[in-house]
Amino acid sequence: MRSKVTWILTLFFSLIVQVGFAQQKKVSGVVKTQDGDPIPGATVLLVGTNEGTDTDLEGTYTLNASKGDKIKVAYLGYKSVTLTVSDSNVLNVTLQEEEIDVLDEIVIDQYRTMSKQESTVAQTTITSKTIEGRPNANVIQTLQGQVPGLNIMTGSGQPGSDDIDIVLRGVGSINGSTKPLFIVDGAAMADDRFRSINPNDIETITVLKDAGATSIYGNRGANGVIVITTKRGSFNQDLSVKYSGLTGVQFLQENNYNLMNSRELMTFENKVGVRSWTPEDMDNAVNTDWQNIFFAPAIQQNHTISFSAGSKNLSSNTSLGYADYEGILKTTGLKRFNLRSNLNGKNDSGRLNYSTSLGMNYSKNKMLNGTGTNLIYHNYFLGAFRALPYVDPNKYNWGRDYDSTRTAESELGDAGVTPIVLLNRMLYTGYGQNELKMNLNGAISYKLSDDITIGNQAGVDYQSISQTAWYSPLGYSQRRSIEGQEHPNGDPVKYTGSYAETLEERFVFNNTASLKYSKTFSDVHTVNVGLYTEYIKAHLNSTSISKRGFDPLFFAPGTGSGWIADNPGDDIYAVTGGKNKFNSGLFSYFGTVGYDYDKRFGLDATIRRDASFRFTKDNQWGTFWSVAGRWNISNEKFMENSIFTDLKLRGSYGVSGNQDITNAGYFGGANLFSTRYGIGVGYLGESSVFITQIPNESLKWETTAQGNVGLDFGLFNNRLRGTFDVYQKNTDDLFLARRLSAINGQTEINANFGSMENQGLELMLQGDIVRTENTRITLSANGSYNKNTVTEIPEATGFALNGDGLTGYKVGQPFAEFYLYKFAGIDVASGDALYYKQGGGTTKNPTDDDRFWTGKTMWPKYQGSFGIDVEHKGFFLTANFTYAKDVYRYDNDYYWYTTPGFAGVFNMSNDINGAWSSTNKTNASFPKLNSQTQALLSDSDFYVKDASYIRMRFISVGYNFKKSDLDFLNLSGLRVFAQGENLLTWTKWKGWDAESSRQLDFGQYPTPRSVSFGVEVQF
Amino acid sequence: MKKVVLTIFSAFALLTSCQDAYEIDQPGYVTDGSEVFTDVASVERALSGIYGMLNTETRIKFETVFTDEVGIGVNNGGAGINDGSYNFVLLSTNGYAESIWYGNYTTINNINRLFRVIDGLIVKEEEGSPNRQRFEKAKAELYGLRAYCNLVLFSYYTPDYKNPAGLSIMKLDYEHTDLNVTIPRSNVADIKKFIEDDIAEANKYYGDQGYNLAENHFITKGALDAMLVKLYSMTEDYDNVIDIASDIIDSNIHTLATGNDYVEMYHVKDRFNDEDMVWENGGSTVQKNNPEIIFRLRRAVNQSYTISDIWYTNQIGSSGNTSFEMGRSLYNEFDKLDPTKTGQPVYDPALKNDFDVPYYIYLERSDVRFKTNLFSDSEAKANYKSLSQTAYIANDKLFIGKYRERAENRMQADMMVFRFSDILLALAEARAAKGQITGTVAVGDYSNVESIIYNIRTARLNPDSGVTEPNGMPVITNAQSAWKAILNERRMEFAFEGHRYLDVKRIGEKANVGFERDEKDCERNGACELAPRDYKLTLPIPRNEMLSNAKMVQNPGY
Repeated sequence: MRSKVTWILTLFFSLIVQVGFAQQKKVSGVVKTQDGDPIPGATVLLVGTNEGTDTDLEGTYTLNASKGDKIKVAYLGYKSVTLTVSDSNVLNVTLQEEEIDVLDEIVIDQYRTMSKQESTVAQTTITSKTIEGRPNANVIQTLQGQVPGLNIMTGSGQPGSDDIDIVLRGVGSINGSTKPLFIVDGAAMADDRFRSINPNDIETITVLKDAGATSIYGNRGANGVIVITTKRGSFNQDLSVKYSGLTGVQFLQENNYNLMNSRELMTFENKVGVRSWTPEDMDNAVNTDWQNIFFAPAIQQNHTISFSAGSKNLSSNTSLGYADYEGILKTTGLKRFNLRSNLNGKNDSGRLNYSTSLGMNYSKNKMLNGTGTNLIYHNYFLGAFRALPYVDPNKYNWGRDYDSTRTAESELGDAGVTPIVLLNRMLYTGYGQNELKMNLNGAISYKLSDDITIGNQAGVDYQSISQTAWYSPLGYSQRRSIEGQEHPNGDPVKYTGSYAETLEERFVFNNTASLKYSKTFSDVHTVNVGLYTEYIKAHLNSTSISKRGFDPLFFAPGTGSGWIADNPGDDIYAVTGGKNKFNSGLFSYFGTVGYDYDKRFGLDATIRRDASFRFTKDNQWGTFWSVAGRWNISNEKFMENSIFTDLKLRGSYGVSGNQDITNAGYFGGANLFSTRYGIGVGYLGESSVFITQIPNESLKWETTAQGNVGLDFGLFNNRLRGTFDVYQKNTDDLFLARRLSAINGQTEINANFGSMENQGLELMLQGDIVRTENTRITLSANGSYNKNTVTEIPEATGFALNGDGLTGYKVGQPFAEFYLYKFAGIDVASGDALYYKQGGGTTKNPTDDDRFWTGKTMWPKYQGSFGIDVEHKGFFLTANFTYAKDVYRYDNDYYWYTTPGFAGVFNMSNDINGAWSSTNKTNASFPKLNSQTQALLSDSDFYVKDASYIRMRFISVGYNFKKSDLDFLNLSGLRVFAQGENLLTWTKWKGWDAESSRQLDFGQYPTPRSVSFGVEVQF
Repeated sequence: MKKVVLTIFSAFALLTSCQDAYEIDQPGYVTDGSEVFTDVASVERALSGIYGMLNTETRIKFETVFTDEVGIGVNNGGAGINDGSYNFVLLSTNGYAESIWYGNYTTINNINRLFRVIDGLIVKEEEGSPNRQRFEKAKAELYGLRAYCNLVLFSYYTPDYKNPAGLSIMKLDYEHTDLNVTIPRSNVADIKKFIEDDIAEANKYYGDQGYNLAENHFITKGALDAMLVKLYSMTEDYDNVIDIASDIIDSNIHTLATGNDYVEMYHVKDRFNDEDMVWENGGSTVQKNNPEIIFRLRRAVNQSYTISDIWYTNQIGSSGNTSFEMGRSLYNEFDKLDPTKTGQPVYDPALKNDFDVPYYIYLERSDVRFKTNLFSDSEAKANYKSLSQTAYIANDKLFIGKYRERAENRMQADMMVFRFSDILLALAEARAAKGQITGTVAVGDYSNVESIIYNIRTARLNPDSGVTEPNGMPVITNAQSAWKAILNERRMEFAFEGHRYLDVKRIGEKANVGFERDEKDCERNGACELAPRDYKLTLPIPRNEMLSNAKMVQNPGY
């Protein structure tokens, strides 16, 4: 009753008001763009009331209003306009397109923050919009295709694996690290392992590319820098809660090896003469698909809930995450728990600011420890991909018990039994790493005056990894290994099973103190100066034990229970252990100067002095510097009415260094400048002392000088926007394996010699094809070209070889180029393979002199991506395609599938049936099956295959609910989407994945494809 | 407020100005040699490391697959075929060729460094004092070890031993530390002299000590003499061979091992307790005092050297996953040693799986070398030639059993470097060269080729076979047949000991014998023969050396 009265009263009063004050009239008009096009669907509101209307197809509206009323016209993508009703009954409105975010972006490096407009450097920033909701356990994978010039090659399907090669603007080092430096919330990461970091916590990723940006990182900047910031709250903000969840399934990708089925393989084995199968055998043979036995669709899920709030002087962002990624190979997976809490605080005057970032991550990784090896009892991929299809797992109880596996071994032999033993292994063994990772950072700054700020930032990156590997005493290989073994007293050895654990702690402390000055004179001259010192100290401490001999009755996986005590008489069950400790450190002081004139010209310079623990006194310090300038052409008067919204020319030149010359992170390569002695096993098993290292006293930094010219542009109100960069990088004092004569006592020593250059172009383009209220279609593309040339190898030969026997470096040729015999076809008469001779002709027996520089490398010359973003009335679709061209890898799997020596041991490809024979002489694709020189084929370019590809890297479709539709749920946002990764690939490569971080793969974990579904809810 | 903040910042500034960030000593790194070598004990400790660097395993692994010693094993998954080593493919990138070259020079490099250390320390010791004597002994051993390394290098990388001006190896006779210095190949005469001089230096210490059985795992006078015998038989200084061989023979300390003593050198039953291996059933003799052994390399459990893993992947014998078996052509030679049983199958199904039955019961032949080299559960098919390739591989199983010990999956054994029979057969080469091929045939008579072979075969008679006189002796009618008999005797006597390759290189041409595989063993790869003149009987200079040493010249053919 009461509510009814209220309602009636309200109505009554509103009538009075209207009657009392309104001199209402109809106001109408047309809403147009600045180009004069009508805008349908724009909202026209009478300010202060609930009244309003939409424009029709011609952009016209009609509204009741009084003189003096304010009407507001709004349309997505345009600046809202508020106008006052005058005497006229016609009120036309022109809306200006809203300036696109690009201009408001800021560029953050660890030390400086500036608007993109003011930035003088080549960089690309990726925001959380791109990162969130992707099903990659490792955020680095998500970066693929997003940044021109950044080449990301994933080499493993293990969830969270760091088997990822990240190369920016071409390879800059041969033996040293080629990976960029990673900075998370201002602190350098201990390594590039990202499995423990929740991608949903990341706010921005900035990739710094040219010397103007990277020289400030001195000895670590030569390979580029990737700066990651995590999400923070804002001051004066109500609590906002957001949940995002993702669940999906992953599958193995297809291969194109044309593998044999049982009948085909049996026929082939008969032909080679390794088996003699009867027609009945073939009729009765099973056809086992081992891939389906070792692999299974893998479920993954990822949940993150975050809380963000801020009061006047304090803001916070806290998130909790849980993720569970199964691997497509059974038994593998990654589970992760994350907590992140970021705080910002200030005092009332705003002079004192402080912030803390806390990330606590715990991950449990179930991994494999035989991957990439040819250990047939360890490497599951040999079982999955190479096992004989005619072996019937049912016959041997799927390797579940000892006896049936033993039977399998005696019936099938060592190689045939491989998959059965591996199935047994899956049940009885485990290998994993539990990682606790903490990033703790605190920063404080204080404004001494309006112009001068002092600050300090300190951080710790702590990582503790516990790695366990266990083998149950019930496992087949274990029990088999003690058969016939005796104690010295003649008793049989009874107990087996093994357990090994390594505990490793890494601790990196860094501290940066800064003094900054910033002042604008006469309104147009702005000067920024910064002075810094940086101190980094890192410690590694590892302890390991391993032990054999467990009682199966008490044994529990991964625990060490059932421990059989050592018997001093023979020490068969003795525990062995090890201990390691390493320290490393860097110290630097550096400064920056920036000058801006009227937002039209800018100049930045940096200089840095660095000391590294890796070098002798003479070479300990290095000086690195850069200068960079810009001209914001679009801010010039003469550009006022041009089509350019934004046009900036920038250039930089500078020198940065690489002190991680052994590619071992913080700790490797210590004391390479001195002779070292060590303990080893001498004669009669006695402990002896050896010289373990001959010194390289002239060891020093690798240095990279880089010049860059770039253009940032936005046209037609930034509907078309992009960047274009040209660069040249010269790396000197390359740390390279120098071959040594035997008289030195070793085959090689790494030394600074040789030079290399990278030249390239990068282009990024984005265009809004359609930009209306309900629909937006954006096309984007980026591409890069990088040419790598070795410019100096100070050997008499002019070249140096890689230890892998496949590749080398030659002046004038690209880095790590395949250097092999050159396959010239099959000799029609003999069936042997022929190879080109240097200087003409062909031979069956090439010598060293007949190796050729093939010009082929695993590093793509061209790579990039293109994609489309469509939004329409809440629906959205994003598709992204990546490509790499001019990239070659050695197809080692194919070598195994087509080498007759493996017949009877592993499965083969049907392609080998194209081998030369008396009936197939002229069209032979392989040498005859018993060719005496078969071995040379693998030393030739025969197996070097084109691994170029175009791939639909990911596609995502979804719906963003309108706020009004969500009122009944009390939600402020809801987004649902479905997406796929790696769904389609176009390539000549035969293997599971054209992309890999290695030039030659052997029994590796293929990367999967996936389909997933996600939801984001905002409360 | 300002004060507080400034205080905090200055505290940080102090903290960060330390040099401890870049001047770091890693815990436990020793970088100064004078801290390591302080006294005679530390020198002896380093000497032990140098002995530990010696190995014959690498050579054996190379030779056994590359020569005609092996055939494709029942579980072969492409080993030797895919990499070409069983197909007579030999390139300068060959891992063994590199390993033998680099391994021996590394040892020489270390020896030369230790010479300098000794020269620095020895001056503090009084002439004749116990420490001084220990230093002198160490020095003598180092000379002997350097001579040995050079002898190995000389034998593999010298294309023509007999041409004094021909190219040989690098002469590394100084402590080499300057990475920028390279040296060229010396000629045969220089290297020969280098080895002779080192042995002479060592003999200053060893010369009057006489032969020593108990120390046969170290350098002794016997080892030094054996090196000279090996050197001179390569360079064909046959008078010297006769002189030195006669010294060894006349001393009567080193003699031929008979029967079970021979078997014991390779078959070890117990390695856990024993520092020196004991043959349980055969008798009381330990390897230590085995008169046959002039120099052996002892192997301890914690040394990483393995030998049998070139033939097996898991363990020795039928369940060992056999990559290579005894080559059929070699088996046929062993088979002929007991003509009464030649051609008979080997295999007793009733005993096959009974590990308690001593293996020799069903391998009983009149010559112990048969059972020494063949593992107990082998199966030799009399009709092997008529089998299909598949059936031959699957059923004609000749498991190599030379290096056996109780822990059969450890694949480790002592390595015999110089044996008395090697000296005798070198003497036989000298006799052959001098035309002394036949004559009195009697035990203790080494005056002609035939008698030397007779002596060896008599010693190798199997005491359990009841046979007391060797039968099936080779027929020697002319020089070539004498050389052929010597080469064939060496083939059996030193099977799987890393001699075959060098034997064919040295005397194959005289005997007109190269590598000869049974046709069943080369059906799958087409590599049946390698002629005794083939360039592949000299190893290639490793590619790494060729690339790093501008003065290096490659051997012909590569």
